[in-house]
Amino acid sequence: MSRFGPRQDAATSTPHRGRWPRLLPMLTLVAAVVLLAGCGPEVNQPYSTISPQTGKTQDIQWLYQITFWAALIVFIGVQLAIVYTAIRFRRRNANRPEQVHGSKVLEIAWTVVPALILLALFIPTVRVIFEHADAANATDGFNVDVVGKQWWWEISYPDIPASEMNAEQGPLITANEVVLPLGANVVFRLQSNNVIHSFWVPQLSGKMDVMPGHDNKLQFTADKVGDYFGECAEFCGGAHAWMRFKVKVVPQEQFDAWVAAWRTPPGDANPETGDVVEVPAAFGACLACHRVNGTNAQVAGQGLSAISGYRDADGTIVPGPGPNLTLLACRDTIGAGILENTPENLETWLKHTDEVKEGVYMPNYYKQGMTDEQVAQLVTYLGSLKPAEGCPDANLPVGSELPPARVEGTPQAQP
Amino acid sequence: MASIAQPHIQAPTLPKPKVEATGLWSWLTTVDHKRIAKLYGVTAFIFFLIGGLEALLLRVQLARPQNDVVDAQRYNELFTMHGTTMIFLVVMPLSVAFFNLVVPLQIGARDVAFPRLNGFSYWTFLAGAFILNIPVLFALPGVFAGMAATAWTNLLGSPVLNGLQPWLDANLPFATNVPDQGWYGYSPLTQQLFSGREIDFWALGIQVLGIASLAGAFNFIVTILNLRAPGMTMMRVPIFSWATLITSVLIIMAFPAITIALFFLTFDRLGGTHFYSAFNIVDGTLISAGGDPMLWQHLFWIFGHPEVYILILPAFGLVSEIIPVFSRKPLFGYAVMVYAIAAIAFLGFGVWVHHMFTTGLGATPTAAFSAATMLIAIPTGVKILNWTATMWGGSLSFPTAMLFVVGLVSQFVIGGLSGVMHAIVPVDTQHNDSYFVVAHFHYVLFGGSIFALLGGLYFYWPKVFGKLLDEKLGKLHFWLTFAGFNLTFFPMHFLGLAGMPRRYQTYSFESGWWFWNAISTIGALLIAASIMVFLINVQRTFASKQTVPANPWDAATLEWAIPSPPPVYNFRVVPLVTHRDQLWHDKYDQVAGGADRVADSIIEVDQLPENSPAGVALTEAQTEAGNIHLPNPSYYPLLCGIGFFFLPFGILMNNPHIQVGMFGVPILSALGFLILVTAIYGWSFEPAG
Amino acid sequence: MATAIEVVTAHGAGAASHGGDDHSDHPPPSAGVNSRKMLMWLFLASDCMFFGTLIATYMTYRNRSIELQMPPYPNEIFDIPYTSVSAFVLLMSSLTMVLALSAIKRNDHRGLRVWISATALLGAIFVGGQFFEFTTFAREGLTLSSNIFGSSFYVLTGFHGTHVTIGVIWLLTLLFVSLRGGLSSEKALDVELAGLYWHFVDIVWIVIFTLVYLVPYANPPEGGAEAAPEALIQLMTLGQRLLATLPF
Repeated sequence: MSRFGPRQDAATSTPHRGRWPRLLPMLTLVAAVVLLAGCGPEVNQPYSTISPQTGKTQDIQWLYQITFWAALIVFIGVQLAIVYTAIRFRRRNANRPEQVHGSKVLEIAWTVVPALILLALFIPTVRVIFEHADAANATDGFNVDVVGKQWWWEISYPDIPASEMNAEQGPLITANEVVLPLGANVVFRLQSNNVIHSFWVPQLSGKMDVMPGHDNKLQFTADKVGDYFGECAEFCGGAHAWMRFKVKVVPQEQFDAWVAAWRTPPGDANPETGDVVEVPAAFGACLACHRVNGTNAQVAGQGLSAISGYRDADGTIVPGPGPNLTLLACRDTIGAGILENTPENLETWLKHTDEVKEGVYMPNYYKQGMTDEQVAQLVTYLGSLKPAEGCPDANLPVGSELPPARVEGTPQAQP
Repeated sequence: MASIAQPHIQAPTLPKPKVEATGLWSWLTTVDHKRIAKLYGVTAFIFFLIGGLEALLLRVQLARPQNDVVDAQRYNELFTMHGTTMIFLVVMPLSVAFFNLVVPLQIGARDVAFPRLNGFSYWTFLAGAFILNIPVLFALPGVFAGMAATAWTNLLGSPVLNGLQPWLDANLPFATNVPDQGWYGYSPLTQQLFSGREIDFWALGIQVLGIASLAGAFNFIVTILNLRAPGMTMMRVPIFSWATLITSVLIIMAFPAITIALFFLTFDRLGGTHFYSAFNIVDGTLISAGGDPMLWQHLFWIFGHPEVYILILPAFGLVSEIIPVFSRKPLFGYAVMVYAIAAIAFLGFGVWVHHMFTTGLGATPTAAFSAATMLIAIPTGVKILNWTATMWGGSLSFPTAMLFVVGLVSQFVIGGLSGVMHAIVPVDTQHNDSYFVVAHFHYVLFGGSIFALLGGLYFYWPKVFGKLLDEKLGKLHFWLTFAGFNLTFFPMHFLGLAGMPRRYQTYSFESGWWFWNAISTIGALLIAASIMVFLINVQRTFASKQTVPANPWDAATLEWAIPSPPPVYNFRVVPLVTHRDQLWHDKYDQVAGGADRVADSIIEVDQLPENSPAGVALTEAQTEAGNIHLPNPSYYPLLCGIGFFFLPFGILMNNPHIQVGMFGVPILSALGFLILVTAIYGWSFEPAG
Repeated sequence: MATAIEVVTAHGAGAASHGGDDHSDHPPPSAGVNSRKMLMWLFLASDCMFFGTLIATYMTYRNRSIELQMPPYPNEIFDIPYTSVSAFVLLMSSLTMVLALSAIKRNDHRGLRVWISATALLGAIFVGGQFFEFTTFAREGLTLSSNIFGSSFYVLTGFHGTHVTIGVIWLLTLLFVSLRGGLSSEKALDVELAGLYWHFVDIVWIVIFTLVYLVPYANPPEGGAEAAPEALIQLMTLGQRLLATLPF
């Protein structure tokens, strides 16, 4: 009598037998993926994490490489073991295999060996963690303050006043393009007054979150001249995918020229007397949110006290201040790195704001009745926001295609 | 229902189940663990299809640069619901389906320790799933209206329907946005300043799901500790039941963190507090609020990381059950496998900060958590190697179930190794929140959990339904899944290395991401095809006329000792356990006659807590056969589920269109509360059976 | 009602082990602990994590409103002697709970009813006291949303107060069942489970009372509020103050 109720003799009823060639598709597939990895098309990858352009990212790359090779060896070893076992011990007859319950020696071995491998990885990891943390605490660095807004970046230089004559005007502020002098030991102070963002320029540094209520630091040394591409890496709402920026590392003279150009008042404006230039009438609607140095567009809030937009208690969206537009015509892109800075694109942006960048807080005045002439006026005006003698980086190709990080004399970024 | 409250009538011989065999009512009031397993399984599978469809839409949107199949708002909603659905409504309940089905059978019990609590878990789970998905239901009319308007305009050139969607948005009594903040719901994005009503549905839905998970976890711990068949010492408990036990411990320790975290969130959103926001806006002015978004991240990941193991440990349990069967060898290093599960679970509580390496916590904490994270790789590696060693020297056959679990062993290695890369903090600053991470956790959760759960479906299908799934289609299913899975997710490693962040609705051609995105989308279509194959297989199997023996796979654990499908009472007599692989022992290791074995068994019963006389009495009484005591069906668990549905639902329905307040209390909530209290009291005074 | 044969075969069903039926003559559960009692212990373990999370949050934020100068501050608002008295009341209810359990084990139904009523009453006094405390605080300007201290204080103590309230309702239900004659000495487990819960809630209050009320706070930046250690001094002189309130 069975103690467990009805039971069948199962040895003969095992319904299906495997065949080892069935494993071939798996092998083929793995091989195919690895091959594809090598044979993928040559494309420029401006956001590549594996074409380091600073000492910091080279450290990371070095760590990544040793981990990668260690992982690859383990991966191949385990896969070979699985496939070999599956083939060699496939069922050939109905005999019962030897009933092995375990092996202390083996199990200890494969506890200890991985532990040693991990220890070997951990030691350099800790070294790099502390080196990078110490560097970020540098007090003599080139300071840049970044405030993450929805969905653009406000960049200010706390040590560079907006005006040499009038210190009350605060620091030099720009948006979505960080201009840095070559060789600067840059220390970013990352702040937010809205949601969490993450500041990431893959070729220059790992990412750092922009956390409301915290002043996170990010440091790297700008070793090579060039344009580098940055993006927001922490989901921050509607237009998260369109919160790009650029880091432009330029020679010191050119940086100085850029600062001077930023400070040069347009037309008849005189910072000493406080005289400003009137913005054109079409810009009137923009005054509430945008500033332009040396003009009467000075009312918009900026910095940590100005929130880019929010919902009120009824759920209605209240738009807040947008980017400072001083020297806009000298920027490569508009809309936080999403469109090349051309008159056509400016027009597109003004007429189709919320379609180009879904979720954006900037109102579409064209839809609300702004005329084509007014838009044209605005495009002309915005295109004129540059020094009379031209942009300071005129020797660099401005507003050309986005990728890659390339400048004469610097090595081509490797995809 | 008077019949519910009737006292147990003693049947003279074999049980005449008091449970109605068929009918809707019998399902609504069931307390039978096998039926609850089916309810969980079917529900989870439906959500698997929904979550899969959401993923497919995501992939289609990303197939080419600047695609506009799905707009940004809908895209954010899709990935939020995809993640939330797959974690809370697919992998967890599917695991629970296996807990319910397998654990009582495997430990030789007639049901779980608290059958009505089991029903409660299911109905509460369903209530939570509904609350979570209500915004989806509400959004659908708008979505369809939008599609109709577009089609109308394109076909007839008349924009007459264009006003439909805005009209619906304005006049539907509910918000038409779906949760859109990501499954991890980072604050301040979830605060009222930056999001809408949909977040409340998400928060309260997960809250209710947490209650269901907790109730289930309590139940399974007690079941496994207390209802083991005589002679089944803890070190004879089958490894899947061990995995269930430890997973349940993880649930009861981890879920409180998310419950309280969501509690704070709800207070932040509805009660004017600022637990998670550093800033607030008063009269248009930004002021300091005193809260800290880091608190949410800590609480969320103190739950969130153990949650990862809640998702994967049941899968590991299934692998540990299935590989020995098709190797015809016992699990290699049973004890070490148990310790490894326990070690993973324990360490799983000490690694949450590795989700936050880029939040600026400082060098010392990140270094410490980096070390802890690396440590977890050790027991995981031991498991992988022990599985391989189980196959080594075996007599291997590869039906679909085995293919899926060996697939797991192979694919999980990839996820595990990329996990170690993320433990290297500086490297993680490049990988975190990029597609490299997306690749990593899909290798762990799809190549891990889903592979094992699919393998488990093939393995246990005959036990549940008394029919074997078709092997030809099964193998096609596996290879399509395997190919589609790798084609979808392996390229994501390259995308991550190329700097593509997660949760990007679209990307420019110049970013250089288009090639691997296109490949990935093709892979996703393959996965969809593989699921179609599985559905065809299921349909064919149900249509086929076949019967299956009790133990079609020649497996070793007790669930295979009873007929397929099992009778409602599971075991006619409670089995006596003398060995870990009992059925193999009975079949292959019998040396002497029956008398010797009985003597053996009685000696083993000595190991029961209450010494041998009880054990002897037990065996004797059992051989007399007879009367099996079954719990009564009850509708109170269902009633609790209904209460739990309306309780939060009412809070959310303060839309001016339908709000019916009574003394400031939303009437639906009051109703839900009343139902809940009634159900709890009814339950307390209802005879258990 | 359970016959011997049913007892044996019902081993696996387990349903009998909850829902008001205590089959104490059951075959031993394999872990040696009654299933319902084990369930209660597991629930309490989980509840520890609930309170742990709340307390950890409170501790994280406890000085935050002082640092940000967002009054009212904790040490301005707490009335240590008052809360000490209500804490004492709650502690005493643990004693009466023990007496209730011992009464039902002795089959002393009158004792059971007396002590359960006493426990429920003391619990109700505590909840009432908390309600009064909350309204006083609210009058003094501390609301759920006034500052981060208010938020974390009300949510933590409110969560505990809800626990006590549920406990009181549970005890009253037991009292009701007993008065209807449904609580025999075989049902001692029903009382014991309520007791486990009750003691747990008491112990948690000791932790909360210490961490929230007694441990000193940071000094307010302006020095406007009372110095923090004053709270401890207040507590030490509590006995004298109590004596002073006596009519003789």
